[in-house]
Amino acid sequence: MRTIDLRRLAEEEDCTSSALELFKKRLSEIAGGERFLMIVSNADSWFALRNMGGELGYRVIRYWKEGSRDFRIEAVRE
Amino acid sequence: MEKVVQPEQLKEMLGKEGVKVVEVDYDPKTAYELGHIPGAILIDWKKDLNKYPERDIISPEEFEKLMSRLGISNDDHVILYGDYNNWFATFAFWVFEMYGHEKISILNGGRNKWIELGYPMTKEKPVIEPSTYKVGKVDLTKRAYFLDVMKRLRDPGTILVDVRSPAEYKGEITAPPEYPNEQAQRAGHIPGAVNIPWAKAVNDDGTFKDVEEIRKLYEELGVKPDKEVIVYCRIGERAAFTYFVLRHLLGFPKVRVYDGSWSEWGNMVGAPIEKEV
Repeated sequence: MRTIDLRRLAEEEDCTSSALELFKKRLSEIAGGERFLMIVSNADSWFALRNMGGELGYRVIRYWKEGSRDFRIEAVRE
Repeated sequence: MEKVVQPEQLKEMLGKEGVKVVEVDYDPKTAYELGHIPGAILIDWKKDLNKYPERDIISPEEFEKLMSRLGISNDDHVILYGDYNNWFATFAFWVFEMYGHEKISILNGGRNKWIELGYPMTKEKPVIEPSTYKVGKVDLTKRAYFLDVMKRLRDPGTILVDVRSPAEYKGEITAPPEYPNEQAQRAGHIPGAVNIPWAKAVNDDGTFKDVEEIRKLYEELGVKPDKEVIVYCRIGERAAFTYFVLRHLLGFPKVRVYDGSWSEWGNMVGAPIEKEV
């Protein structure tokens, strides 16, 4: 399953806008119907991505936390 | 009045009379609009706290109008939190302080910690009953302008703290490419400034580190309470975060935000610059 891992960007100081733009770019590379995994390093971004699927074109299947800086969402591209 | 409110404390305070919870966002579309603390009012940092077309914070009169529109009264305990790890919430805190609002606190960890704890979020916007707010004493001693900084260059009684990333401080970049409005003509830092990125004061979850740990971090680099401290970043919001840490967690008596920051200094003709690359 393809993974969009935004943790590295978030370690840099200006994370959110950079991460969102990068995320949109990576998302555009995923085909319709394909399942993919998103990983972010903070709960705020995790919450945003869980709630932006309708707008950005994916459906959330499940989400969970792996560690203190590892928040995951599994989704399918619409 | 505690200047830091813990999420569990706020959970118990929700809905109480005289308590106003305010979310301050840089980007409400990816934050407040998707969900916020029940009853929280929105301050959109760009639209509500900044003047247009000139670059400045809103005037006391505009602040009165904003507070009145948001239904905030002079006696309300305002608890601020927001996106981007509370950067813009602490900027708002700084503005509230300059305009004399005394009962004001920051939610430790901001949106991030609240969400991580699984505390309630809603999309429902509160019904606001406008108030009549009056600004009392205005205290602009918490703000530094370009000339204030120029006058204090190399002044042994003043220390400048640059809270940007090391790459910006060293002069490798002026600003990340995602921020075209925050670029400068020159890269580097204000002469004599020490680099202590804002994030050094927080844990992974965005909450403040232990006060003594933070104190040690700053004092090791010469940032001590006997000095006047001027903090800056690129547009002032991260500087406001560090202002809050120094003034209200460590209790430094003289801290000022140079909100013109690098987007002013790095563009100003004749402003001296140090660079490490």
